[in-house]
Amino acid sequence: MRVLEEKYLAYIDDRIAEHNKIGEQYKADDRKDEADLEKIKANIYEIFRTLFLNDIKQLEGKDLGNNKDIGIYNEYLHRFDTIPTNWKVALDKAKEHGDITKQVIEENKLAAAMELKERFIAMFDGFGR
Amino acid sequence: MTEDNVVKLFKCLSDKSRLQILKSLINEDMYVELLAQRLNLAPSTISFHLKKLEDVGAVASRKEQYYSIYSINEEVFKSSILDIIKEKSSEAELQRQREDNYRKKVIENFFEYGKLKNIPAQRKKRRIILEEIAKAFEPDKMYTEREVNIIIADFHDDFCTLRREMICENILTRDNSIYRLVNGK
Repeated sequence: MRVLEEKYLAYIDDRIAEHNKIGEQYKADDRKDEADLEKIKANIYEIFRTLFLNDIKQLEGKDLGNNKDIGIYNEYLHRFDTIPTNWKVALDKAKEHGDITKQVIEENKLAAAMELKERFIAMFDGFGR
Repeated sequence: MTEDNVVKLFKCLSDKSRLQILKSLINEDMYVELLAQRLNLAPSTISFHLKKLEDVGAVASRKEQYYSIYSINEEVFKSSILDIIKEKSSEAELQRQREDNYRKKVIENFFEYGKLKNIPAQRKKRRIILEEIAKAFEPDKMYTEREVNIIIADFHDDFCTLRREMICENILTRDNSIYRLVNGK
Protein backbone atom coordinates (compact mmCIF):
# COMPACT_ATOMS: atom_id res chain seq x y z
CA MET A 1 0.00 0.00 0.00
CA ARG A 2 2.78 2.37 0.95
CA VAL A 3 4.30 1.88 -2.52
CA LEU A 4 1.00 2.70 -4.13
CA GLU A 5 0.51 5.87 -2.09
CA GLU A 6 3.98 7.03 -3.01
CA LYS A 7 3.38 6.21 -6.65
CA TYR A 8 0.17 8.20 -6.70
CA LEU A 9 1.77 11.16 -4.93
CA ALA A 10 4.68 11.05 -7.37
CA TYR A 11 2.19 11.12 -10.23
CA ILE A 12 0.49 14.21 -8.78
CA ASP A 13 3.86 15.90 -8.19
CA ASP A 14 4.83 15.22 -11.80
CA ARG A 15 1.61 16.75 -13.05
CA ILE A 16 2.07 19.83 -10.83
CA ALA A 17 5.63 20.28 -12.06
CA GLU A 18 4.52 19.77 -15.65
CA HIS A 19 1.75 22.40 -15.49
CA ASN A 20 4.00 24.85 -13.67
CA LYS A 21 6.66 24.36 -16.33
CA ILE A 22 4.18 24.91 -19.17
CA GLY A 23 2.84 27.94 -17.30
CA GLU A 24 6.33 29.42 -17.08
CA GLN A 25 6.85 28.82 -20.78
CA TYR A 26 3.58 30.57 -21.58
CA LYS A 27 4.55 33.47 -19.35
CA ALA A 28 7.90 33.78 -21.07
CA ASP A 29 6.03 33.68 -24.36
CA ASP A 30 3.74 36.58 -23.28
CA ARG A 31 0.70 34.33 -23.01
CA LYS A 32 -0.34 35.28 -19.51
CA ASP A 33 -3.93 34.06 -19.62
CA GLU A 34 -2.89 30.60 -20.75
CA ALA A 35 -0.16 30.64 -18.08
CA ASP A 36 -2.88 31.42 -15.53
CA LEU A 37 -4.95 28.47 -16.73
CA GLU A 38 -1.95 26.19 -16.20
CA LYS A 39 -1.55 27.62 -12.70
CA ILE A 40 -5.21 26.88 -12.00
CA LYS A 41 -4.72 23.24 -13.07
CA ALA A 42 -1.61 22.96 -10.89
CA ASN A 43 -3.61 24.34 -7.97
CA ILE A 44 -6.30 21.69 -8.43
CA TYR A 45 -3.63 18.96 -8.27
CA GLU A 46 -2.26 20.63 -5.13
CA ILE A 47 -5.70 20.53 -3.52
CA PHE A 48 -6.16 16.82 -4.18
CA ARG A 49 -2.60 16.11 -3.10
CA THR A 50 -3.27 17.76 0.25
CA LEU A 51 -6.54 15.88 0.63
CA PHE A 52 -4.87 12.56 -0.17
CA LEU A 53 -2.15 13.16 2.41
CA ASN A 54 -4.82 14.14 4.89
CA ASP A 55 -6.85 10.98 4.25
CA ILE A 56 -3.76 8.81 4.67
CA LYS A 57 -2.92 10.59 7.90
CA GLN A 58 -6.42 10.07 9.27
CA LEU A 59 -6.01 6.33 8.90
CA GLU A 60 -2.47 6.18 10.26
CA GLY A 61 -2.22 4.24 13.49
CA LYS A 62 -5.77 2.98 13.29
CA ASP A 63 -6.22 -0.78 13.44
CA LEU A 64 -8.25 -1.28 10.34
CA GLY A 65 -6.78 -4.61 9.34
CA ASN A 66 -7.43 -5.42 5.72
CA ASN A 67 -9.96 -2.65 5.42
CA LYS A 68 -7.30 0.03 5.51
CA ASP A 69 -6.78 0.13 1.77
CA ILE A 70 -10.48 0.27 1.13
CA GLY A 71 -10.80 3.01 3.74
CA ILE A 72 -8.36 5.26 1.90
CA TYR A 73 -9.83 4.32 -1.44
CA ASN A 74 -13.40 5.22 -0.48
CA GLU A 75 -12.60 8.33 1.54
CA TYR A 76 -10.45 9.82 -1.14
CA LEU A 77 -12.69 8.79 -4.03
CA HIS A 78 -15.57 10.53 -2.30
CA ARG A 79 -13.59 13.78 -2.45
CA PHE A 80 -13.94 13.77 -6.22
CA ASP A 81 -17.71 13.98 -5.80
CA THR A 82 -17.80 16.62 -3.07
CA ILE A 83 -14.99 19.06 -3.92
CA PRO A 84 -15.97 19.80 -7.54
CA THR A 85 -19.67 20.33 -6.72
CA ASN A 86 -19.37 24.12 -6.63
CA TRP A 87 -17.28 24.10 -9.79
CA LYS A 88 -20.06 22.25 -11.60
CA VAL A 89 -22.62 24.76 -10.34
CA ALA A 90 -20.36 27.63 -11.44
CA LEU A 91 -19.89 25.99 -14.86
CA ASP A 92 -23.63 25.59 -15.38
CA LYS A 93 -24.21 29.21 -14.40
CA ALA A 94 -21.44 30.39 -16.72
CA LYS A 95 -22.91 28.39 -19.62
CA GLU A 96 -26.36 29.74 -18.88
CA HIS A 97 -25.07 33.30 -19.02
CA GLY A 98 -22.62 32.84 -21.90
CA ASP A 99 -19.67 33.69 -19.64
CA ILE A 100 -16.96 32.04 -21.75
CA THR A 101 -14.07 33.15 -19.53
CA LYS A 102 -15.54 31.58 -16.40
CA GLN A 103 -16.68 28.55 -18.40
CA VAL A 104 -13.15 27.78 -19.58
CA ILE A 105 -11.76 28.16 -16.07
CA GLU A 106 -14.35 25.83 -14.52
CA GLU A 107 -13.95 23.28 -17.33
CA ASN A 108 -10.22 23.22 -16.73
CA LYS A 109 -10.70 22.68 -13.00
CA LEU A 110 -13.17 19.86 -13.57
CA ALA A 111 -10.97 18.25 -16.22
CA ALA A 112 -7.98 18.25 -13.86
CA ALA A 113 -10.06 16.68 -11.06
CA MET A 114 -11.49 14.09 -13.44
CA GLU A 115 -8.04 13.15 -14.69
CA LEU A 116 -6.77 12.63 -11.15
CA LYS A 117 -9.83 10.59 -10.25
CA GLU A 118 -9.39 8.27 -13.24
CA ARG A 119 -5.69 7.87 -12.53
CA PHE A 120 -6.42 7.09 -8.90
CA ILE A 121 -8.99 4.41 -9.78
CA ALA A 122 -6.69 2.89 -12.39
CA MET A 123 -3.74 2.75 -9.99
CA PHE A 124 -5.65 1.31 -7.08
CA ASP A 125 -7.56 -1.21 -9.18
CA GLY A 126 -4.35 -2.21 -10.90
CA PHE A 127 -2.85 -2.83 -7.49
CA GLY A 128 -5.37 -5.63 -6.95
CA ARG A 129 -7.72 -3.95 -4.53
CA MET B 1 -11.44 56.28 -27.80
CA THR B 2 -11.34 57.06 -24.06
CA GLU B 3 -8.10 56.51 -22.14
CA ASP B 4 -9.80 53.75 -20.27
CA ASN B 5 -10.70 51.94 -23.47
CA VAL B 6 -7.19 52.43 -24.82
CA VAL B 7 -5.68 50.82 -21.72
CA LYS B 8 -8.11 47.89 -21.97
CA LEU B 9 -7.34 47.43 -25.66
CA PHE B 10 -3.57 47.49 -25.16
CA LYS B 11 -3.79 45.13 -22.21
CA CYS B 12 -5.83 42.76 -24.32
CA LEU B 13 -3.37 42.96 -27.21
CA SER B 14 -0.35 42.27 -25.02
CA ASP B 15 -0.81 38.54 -25.40
CA LYS B 16 0.87 36.50 -28.11
CA SER B 17 -2.03 34.10 -28.63
CA ARG B 18 -4.46 36.95 -29.10
CA LEU B 19 -2.10 38.61 -31.57
CA GLN B 20 -1.91 35.33 -33.48
CA ILE B 21 -5.70 35.20 -33.59
CA LEU B 22 -5.83 38.75 -34.96
CA LYS B 23 -3.16 37.91 -37.53
CA SER B 24 -5.31 35.04 -38.74
CA LEU B 25 -8.47 37.13 -38.78
CA ILE B 26 -6.85 39.93 -40.76
CA ASN B 27 -6.61 37.51 -43.69
CA GLU B 28 -10.07 36.01 -43.46
CA ASP B 29 -13.04 35.66 -41.13
CA MET B 30 -12.96 32.40 -39.21
CA TYR B 31 -14.84 30.27 -36.74
CA VAL B 32 -13.43 28.91 -33.47
CA GLU B 33 -12.57 25.39 -34.62
CA LEU B 34 -10.67 26.61 -37.67
CA LEU B 35 -8.68 29.08 -35.57
CA ALA B 36 -7.96 26.31 -33.06
CA GLN B 37 -6.66 24.09 -35.84
CA ARG B 38 -4.51 26.81 -37.39
CA LEU B 39 -3.01 28.01 -34.12
CA ASN B 40 -2.76 24.60 -32.51
CA LEU B 41 -4.74 25.66 -29.46
CA ALA B 42 -7.77 24.11 -27.78
CA PRO B 43 -11.10 25.48 -29.07
CA SER B 44 -11.98 26.49 -25.50
CA THR B 45 -8.77 28.54 -25.29
CA ILE B 46 -9.61 30.23 -28.59
CA SER B 47 -13.13 31.06 -27.31
CA PHE B 48 -11.57 32.44 -24.14
CA HIS B 49 -9.32 34.79 -26.13
CA LEU B 50 -12.04 35.75 -28.62
CA LYS B 51 -14.31 36.79 -25.79
CA LYS B 52 -11.61 39.13 -24.48
CA LEU B 53 -10.98 40.53 -27.95
CA GLU B 54 -14.70 41.01 -28.46
CA ASP B 55 -15.06 42.81 -25.12
CA VAL B 56 -12.56 45.48 -26.19
CA GLY B 57 -14.11 45.75 -29.63
CA ALA B 58 -11.12 44.27 -31.47
CA VAL B 59 -13.23 41.55 -33.10
CA ALA B 60 -16.89 41.10 -33.93
CA SER B 61 -18.91 37.95 -34.39
CA ARG B 62 -21.88 36.96 -36.50
CA LYS B 63 -23.94 33.80 -36.67
CA GLU B 64 -23.82 31.74 -39.83
CA GLN B 65 -25.87 28.55 -39.58
CA TYR B 66 -24.31 26.62 -36.71
CA TYR B 67 -21.16 28.67 -36.47
CA SER B 68 -20.15 31.97 -34.96
CA ILE B 69 -17.86 33.61 -37.46
CA TYR B 70 -15.32 36.07 -36.11
CA SER B 71 -13.90 39.03 -37.99
CA ILE B 72 -11.42 41.72 -37.10
CA ASN B 73 -12.86 45.15 -36.35
CA GLU B 74 -10.52 47.21 -38.51
CA GLU B 75 -11.94 50.54 -37.30
CA VAL B 76 -10.36 50.02 -33.88
CA PHE B 77 -6.91 49.63 -35.41
CA LYS B 78 -7.11 52.56 -37.76
CA SER B 79 -6.20 55.22 -35.21
CA SER B 80 -2.46 55.60 -34.84
CA ILE B 81 -0.78 55.38 -31.45
CA LEU B 82 0.32 58.97 -31.93
CA ASP B 83 -3.31 60.06 -32.38
CA ILE B 84 -4.23 58.24 -29.19
CA ILE B 85 -1.44 59.93 -27.25
CA LYS B 86 -2.37 63.35 -28.63
CA GLU B 87 -5.98 62.94 -27.56
CA LYS B 88 -6.68 65.29 -24.65
CA SER B 89 -8.71 64.32 -21.63
CA SER B 90 -9.87 66.81 -19.06
CA GLU B 91 -9.36 66.24 -15.34
CA ALA B 92 -13.14 66.11 -14.94
CA GLU B 93 -13.33 63.37 -17.55
CA LEU B 94 -10.53 61.42 -15.86
CA GLN B 95 -12.27 61.75 -12.52
CA ARG B 96 -15.53 60.52 -14.02
CA GLN B 97 -13.71 57.56 -15.53
CA ARG B 98 -12.13 56.70 -12.18
CA GLU B 99 -15.52 56.80 -10.49
CA ASP B 100 -17.10 54.72 -13.25
CA ASN B 101 -14.33 52.15 -12.92
CA TYR B 102 -14.75 51.96 -9.17
CA ARG B 103 -18.50 51.56 -9.52
CA LYS B 104 -18.06 48.89 -12.18
CA LYS B 105 -15.61 46.98 -10.00
CA VAL B 106 -17.95 47.04 -7.01
CA ILE B 107 -20.84 45.82 -9.16
CA GLU B 108 -18.68 43.06 -10.65
CA ASN B 109 -17.53 41.95 -7.21
CA PHE B 110 -20.93 41.91 -5.57
CA PHE B 111 -23.17 40.78 -8.40
CA GLU B 112 -22.99 37.50 -10.24
CA TYR B 113 -25.20 37.12 -13.28
CA GLY B 114 -27.59 39.76 -11.97
CA LYS B 115 -27.85 38.34 -8.44
CA LEU B 116 -26.38 40.08 -5.42
CA LYS B 117 -23.90 37.69 -3.77
CA ASN B 118 -23.83 39.53 -0.44
CA ILE B 119 -24.62 42.94 0.98
CA PRO B 120 -21.49 45.10 1.29
CA ALA B 121 -20.60 46.22 4.79
CA GLN B 122 -18.94 49.40 3.57
CA ARG B 123 -21.47 52.19 3.11
CA LYS B 124 -19.98 53.56 -0.11
CA LYS B 125 -20.15 50.14 -1.75
CA ARG B 126 -23.59 49.45 -0.34
CA ARG B 127 -24.84 52.70 -1.85
CA ILE B 128 -23.55 51.62 -5.27
CA ILE B 129 -25.31 48.25 -5.14
CA LEU B 130 -28.54 49.91 -3.95
CA GLU B 131 -28.37 52.33 -6.87
CA GLU B 132 -27.85 49.37 -9.17
CA ILE B 133 -30.94 47.64 -7.76
CA ALA B 134 -32.86 50.92 -8.09
CA LYS B 135 -32.48 50.62 -11.86
CA ALA B 136 -35.14 47.91 -11.71
CA PHE B 137 -37.68 50.50 -10.56
CA GLU B 138 -39.51 52.73 -12.99
CA PRO B 139 -39.21 56.49 -12.44
CA ASP B 140 -42.31 58.13 -10.94
CA LYS B 141 -44.11 54.80 -10.63
CA MET B 142 -45.71 54.04 -7.26
CA TYR B 143 -45.11 50.63 -5.71
CA THR B 144 -46.75 48.76 -2.86
CA GLU B 145 -44.41 47.20 -0.30
CA ARG B 146 -45.11 43.78 -1.75
CA GLU B 147 -44.11 44.95 -5.22
CA VAL B 148 -40.92 46.46 -3.84
CA ASN B 149 -40.11 43.22 -2.05
CA ILE B 150 -40.67 41.18 -5.18
CA ILE B 151 -38.37 43.42 -7.23
CA ILE B 152 -35.61 43.36 -4.61
CA ALA B 153 -35.98 39.62 -4.01
CA ASP B 154 -34.94 39.11 -7.63
CA PHE B 155 -31.51 40.34 -6.54
CA HIS B 156 -31.20 39.02 -2.99
CA ASP B 157 -33.27 37.06 -0.47
CA ASP B 158 -32.85 39.66 2.26
CA PHE B 159 -35.26 42.13 0.66
CA CYS B 160 -36.27 43.65 4.04
CA THR B 161 -32.75 44.89 4.79
CA LEU B 162 -32.25 46.17 1.28
CA ARG B 163 -35.64 47.90 1.21
CA ARG B 164 -34.87 49.65 4.49
CA GLU B 165 -31.42 50.63 3.25
CA MET B 166 -32.91 52.13 0.10
CA ILE B 167 -35.11 54.32 2.27
CA CYS B 168 -32.22 55.31 4.58
CA GLU B 169 -30.03 56.16 1.58
CA ASN B 170 -32.82 58.28 0.14
CA ILE B 171 -33.05 56.20 -2.99
CA LEU B 172 -36.65 55.16 -2.34
CA THR B 173 -39.20 57.22 -0.54
CA ARG B 174 -42.12 55.81 1.45
CA ASP B 175 -45.40 57.58 2.03
CA ASN B 176 -48.41 55.78 3.48
CA SER B 177 -46.84 52.42 2.57
CA ILE B 178 -46.42 53.51 -1.03
CA TYR B 179 -42.89 53.53 -2.40
CA ARG B 180 -41.36 55.37 -5.32
CA LEU B 181 -37.92 56.44 -6.49
CA VAL B 182 -36.73 59.70 -4.98
CA ASN B 183 -37.15 62.52 -7.53
CA GLY B 184 -38.21 59.90 -10.03
CA LYS B 185 -34.54 59.01 -10.54
